[in-house]
Amino acid sequence: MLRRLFILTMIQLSSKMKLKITNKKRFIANLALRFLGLVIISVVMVLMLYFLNDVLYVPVNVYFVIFVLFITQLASIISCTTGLMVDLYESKDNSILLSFPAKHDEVFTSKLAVFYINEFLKNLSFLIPLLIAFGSISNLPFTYYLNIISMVFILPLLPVLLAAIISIPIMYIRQFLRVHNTLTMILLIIAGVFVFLGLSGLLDEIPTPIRIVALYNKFITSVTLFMQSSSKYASIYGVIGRLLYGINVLSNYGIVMGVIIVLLGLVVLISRPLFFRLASHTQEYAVTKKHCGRNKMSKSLFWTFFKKELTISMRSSNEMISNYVLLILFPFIVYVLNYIYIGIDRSTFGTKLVIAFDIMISLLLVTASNTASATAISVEGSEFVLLKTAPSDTKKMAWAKVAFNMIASTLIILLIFILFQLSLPQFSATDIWLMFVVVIFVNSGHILWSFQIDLLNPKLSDYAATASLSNNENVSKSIIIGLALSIIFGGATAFLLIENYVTGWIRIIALAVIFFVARFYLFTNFLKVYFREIEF
Amino acid sequence: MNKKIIVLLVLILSALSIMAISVWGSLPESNNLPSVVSIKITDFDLQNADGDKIKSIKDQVSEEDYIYKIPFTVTPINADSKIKVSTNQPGITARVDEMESIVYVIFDLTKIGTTVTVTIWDKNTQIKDEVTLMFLPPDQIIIDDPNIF
Repeated sequence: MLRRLFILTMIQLSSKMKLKITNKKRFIANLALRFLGLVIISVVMVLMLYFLNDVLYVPVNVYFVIFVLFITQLASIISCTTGLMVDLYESKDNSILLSFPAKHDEVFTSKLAVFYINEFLKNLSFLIPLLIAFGSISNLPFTYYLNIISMVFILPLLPVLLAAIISIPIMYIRQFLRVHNTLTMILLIIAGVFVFLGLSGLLDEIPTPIRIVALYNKFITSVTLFMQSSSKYASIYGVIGRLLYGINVLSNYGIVMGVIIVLLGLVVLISRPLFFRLASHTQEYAVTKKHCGRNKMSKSLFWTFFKKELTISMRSSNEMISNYVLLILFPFIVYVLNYIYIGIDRSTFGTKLVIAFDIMISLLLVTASNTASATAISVEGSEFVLLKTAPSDTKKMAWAKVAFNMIASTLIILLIFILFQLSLPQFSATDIWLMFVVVIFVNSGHILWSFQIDLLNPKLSDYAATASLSNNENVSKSIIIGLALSIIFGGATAFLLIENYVTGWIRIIALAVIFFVARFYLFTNFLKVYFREIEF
Repeated sequence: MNKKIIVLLVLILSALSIMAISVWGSLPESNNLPSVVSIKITDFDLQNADGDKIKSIKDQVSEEDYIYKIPFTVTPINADSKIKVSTNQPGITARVDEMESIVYVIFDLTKIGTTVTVTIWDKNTQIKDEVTLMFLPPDQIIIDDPNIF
């Protein structure tokens, strides 16, 4: 059994990291370099903690250690949970691993072992140097470092075991929400409203006019108090922190071991039996909808493709949300920033700077949301070949996609600017709507540009093989262009408005319109020439 | 380049924009604010002949509740103040919230039970007030014992 477990673990690890030692000297040199890296990280951590303790006056004590442990482990739990949800239940290697002459329990345990090793390596390169740095600046005794050695093995175990348990209900919730798109949207809106109310409550605490130095001091004090008081709620990590500092060592070790045994028991009793059931019952087999097919003649080819885009986005709202996730963040960032800007006693020059920064940040968020346009053709994958064989002007598909992205993006931005005006009535309404015009024209131009990138270099075969858009170079290019546009238009706005406020607005809007017209002209011509050249 | 990097850039740019607007785009603050006349710690149990203030925190600070709040007042209210705070014990740190007029004293786990003197002062005028926090019931504190301070 142990041998089978070892083989299964090594098979999975070998796809994630290089395990074979081909050259001993190179291997030793690599190890030495890694050790040197750890020493350098530890020294950097010591300097960072000195800065916190002696410059910012944030006390680096046992509560701080507990806070850091809690936060880093919370991040580990989240990353392990999302990772395990994919690796345990949705991974493509399940079909191979489960067909091996091994028990399902062994496959399950090997998957957890792979995650444990990953966590172990992550902790070794971050958390352990940090704990060594704590010991060094607090002059802690030798026993502290001995306790770190046991924590090297205990700390990675906790997030993996917790994630193995948590991932089950989350998996069920995710599967449920995947088939209930309307409910997902409603929950998202409710969450958004709560976040907005929370932010409003926090911002109301800031006295106006805002004095940045006083606000900075208040912020540092609040962060310090939050760090220092959060150790009360850190549960098992509070126990580990006290243990490291030599407080009730034996009883605290007992509590840690007890928790690990309980978690192991829960994993064995709950997660292990459910693993095979969930792993063999994937989403594609869970579809229960029965569509009544009806052939209907469409009068317009453009309208047919447009309706197809609409249907796809309605059916896969999760994908649409991930495409426009930055637009969801947009109103929150704009609201917080402008609340602070308005709170500062500004000069006329300051007001012009506010508009320039607003345009820059708005464009940064808006253009980074045009990834759907930068992959519009690529996501057709192998179906694109079939589409091109249709006896019709299939170029209209491109126009339908562009039109859909522009309408969706413009409607969301319009909604955000309406919220902007309603939530910050002190801000000049004229400035808000002039900014809207600039953002809309630049964004529409950027959508055309992003589409053109995909038109010239579609990744049809990549998408057909992997069904994934991660590390797609067209997306990166689109985001980089968006970043450049944000800086150019933000800088131009500052320059033109400072020179002359009235003509400045006219010139900046004219620039945005010219940019849009130029991109439209180029896109039309590129589409005419290159669309028929696209091959799988 | 991906969306996570853009979020990071937006956060950095937001912080920079606030700094830029407050440095170059704000109106100068009024120089007519009055100086601090007095700083007073109002929450104490005993005061000795020299005016030293003593507060018993025996039942208020514990391993579970290790942050103690000291309210203070600054007069006049709109004074041009730069309030600072310090303690005379390593391992016991204090932070001031000037807007709320509260000092937070944070006791390290190993320092719970240690007597500490907290000093609050204005950097501009050097006017100060201090209080000694003790882990004894008020009736057991000998207020004129010089070793307390």
